[in-house]
Amino acid sequence: MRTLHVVQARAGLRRDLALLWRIAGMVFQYVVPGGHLRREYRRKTARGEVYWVDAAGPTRHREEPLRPR
Amino acid sequence: MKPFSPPPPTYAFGYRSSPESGNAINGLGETTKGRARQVFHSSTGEPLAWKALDDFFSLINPWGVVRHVIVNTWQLRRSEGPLHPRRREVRDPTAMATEVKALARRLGASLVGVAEVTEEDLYVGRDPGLRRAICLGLPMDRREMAFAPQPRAAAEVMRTYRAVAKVAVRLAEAIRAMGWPARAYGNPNSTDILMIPLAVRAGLGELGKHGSMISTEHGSNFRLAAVLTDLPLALDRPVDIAVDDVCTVCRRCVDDCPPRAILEEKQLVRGERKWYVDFDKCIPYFVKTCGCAICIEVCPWSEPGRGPGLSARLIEVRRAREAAQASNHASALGRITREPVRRRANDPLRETSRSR
Repeated sequence: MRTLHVVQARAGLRRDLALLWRIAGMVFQYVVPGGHLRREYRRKTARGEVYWVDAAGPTRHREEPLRPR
Repeated sequence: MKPFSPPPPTYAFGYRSSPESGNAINGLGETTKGRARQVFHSSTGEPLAWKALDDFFSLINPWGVVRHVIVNTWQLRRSEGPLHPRRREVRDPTAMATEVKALARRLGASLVGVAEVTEEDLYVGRDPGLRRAICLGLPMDRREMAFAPQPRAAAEVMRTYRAVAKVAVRLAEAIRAMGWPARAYGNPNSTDILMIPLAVRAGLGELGKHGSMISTEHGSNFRLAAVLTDLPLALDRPVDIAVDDVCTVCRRCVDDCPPRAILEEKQLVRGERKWYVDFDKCIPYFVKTCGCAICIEVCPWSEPGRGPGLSARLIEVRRAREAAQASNHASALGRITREPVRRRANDPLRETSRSR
């Protein structure tokens, strides 16, 4: 029998899995594009150049996957 | 003694085309009351004026900070949830507020207070529809914060946000278990509400010159979270701990702020005179140092154990000064009413009376 508790537990599980997937995306963003950005920023800083945040910056915010859809 | 000197306010990053001033977005100089607009930190999806710098900030943060953000995100999945089908009746909001505060303290909160959510506490376009805010505060580890503006202090800031968010999530779950709606806010990024005005009205402390809250127990060395609910709760009142008495004369944060972002005088911001930090000067340095926090660390109130004595002494001094002024005023008033008015030869009033 599908009780309210079972329905809520399943909804909670679906929510948790979806969030885990989105957090994985967030970690990927930090490691891969973020790693590239940090290397580029360090390189430019060492050369005395300016890193333009609005030109070469990331295209997705760290918390983009968490925003309401 | 600080372990090292802060870096200078020079930047290896910048905007090709400058965004709108954050001070203008924040409503600096506006004479009418109104809701705040989000400008920098946000997780609500609006295209913010300073988004590029915010994105850059989130990716240059060290892993030691980011891991706390990730864990906090995971625990905040329970910020909302299903309600218990049977609602607990509340006949005495004062008793319920006492019960909820005791629960929050058991869960780990150090500061707890209740305030009503008003229009001005919500960002433009946001309204969770809940009218009571339970504000929570948790102190940071002072030894770690002494490393500000190094990333080590930023990690402590995020660790504390994580800890206070955990309290908020558990408290919201407990309220929902009573059958009342409740939503936890523990994300340092601006979401629906402005935490500081709510926490000031909930009696957690007062707004300091450096734009952060000051409480008697922890000075500036604490972080906020909140639970919004419709549970009937008695409201707390704002406290007077003499923060203005200190901030008006103290220059510690002003002098120690490398980009000189802290303004000496209160400013008119969205129709209210209050302490204000120059956003356009503060944020680039905040980004460069991955969270700065120098002003919080150097604030005299943040010295452990100093707040209660300092507050009591200053209130005593103020009362004595006010009593002396009142007595001077009364004696001066007595003198004036007893003595005839002597006008100078060139007094325009004398001329007027003569001409009549």
